[in-house]
Amino acid sequence: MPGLHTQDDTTKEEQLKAALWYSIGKMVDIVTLDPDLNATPHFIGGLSELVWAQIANAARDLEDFAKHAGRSTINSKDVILLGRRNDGLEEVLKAQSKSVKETSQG
Amino acid sequence: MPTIAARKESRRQVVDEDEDEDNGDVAAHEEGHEEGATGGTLNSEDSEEELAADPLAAKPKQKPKPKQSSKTTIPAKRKTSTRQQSPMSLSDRASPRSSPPPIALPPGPSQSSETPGIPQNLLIRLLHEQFKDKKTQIDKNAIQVLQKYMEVFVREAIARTALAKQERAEKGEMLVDDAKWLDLEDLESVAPGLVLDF
Repeated sequence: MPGLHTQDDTTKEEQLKAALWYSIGKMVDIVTLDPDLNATPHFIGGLSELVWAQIANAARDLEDFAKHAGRSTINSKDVILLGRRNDGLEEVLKAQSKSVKETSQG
Repeated sequence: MPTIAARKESRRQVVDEDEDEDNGDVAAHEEGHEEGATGGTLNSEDSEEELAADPLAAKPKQKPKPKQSSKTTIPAKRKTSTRQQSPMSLSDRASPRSSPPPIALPPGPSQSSETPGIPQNLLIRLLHEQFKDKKTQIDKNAIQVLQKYMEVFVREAIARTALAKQERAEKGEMLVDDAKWLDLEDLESVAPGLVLDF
């Protein structure tokens, strides 16, 4: 990622960052509506960068988890493993995984 | 002398008459050539930003060949980017649990309208940007769980920032009204703990 970019890579990355920025902005708008908070554009920008980095880390982790289990396809158990250091988060992810599985089957 | 002057004048008049008709055009052409020349060199060196920053100067006067080419390349990139989202559909087919493929798209949008989140396509695209192995895929249950993970991350970031601000307001470091504004520095103060917990 860092350093050696061709111009194509940079423009592509910028487009992706812009897309992420937009969707994070929408999320922040929805989430801050209820407790009557306001987020500055700087906040949204910083949060987008943070999410960008988090996705990058998650992607590498997930790939390695799947590979460790001898798979090339990441499944929901790998994602649950992302939250292994945080009990509350793990519960949320397990619940989400369960509900997703139920909706996709029924 | 007077005759020469008269001739000069007459010549001038003739020239003037010619120029009068397209005076503005000539001036415009000259400006166009100057700006076009500088614009042309800039274009050849890079740069879409230059064109985007100064579209009025370069565009109408000279045929913006480099610009047109850059315009056509951008949609091309976008097309490739949308094509590269096809790993999702591929992974859907490849994933063992994807027995009902037609449901794959409808639940995505409806869920995202209920609960905010990063769009599935975008998230898949970002993941594939980071995968070291091109063969790595993600099944569609996993991507929905990951969407939840990112949603929780964003909610947590906002909640922690709001809490930190509120505490500072209670200490009297700022006005209560100001505490409703979440700023970058507030996020920066909670980011290390946040990232450690995820």
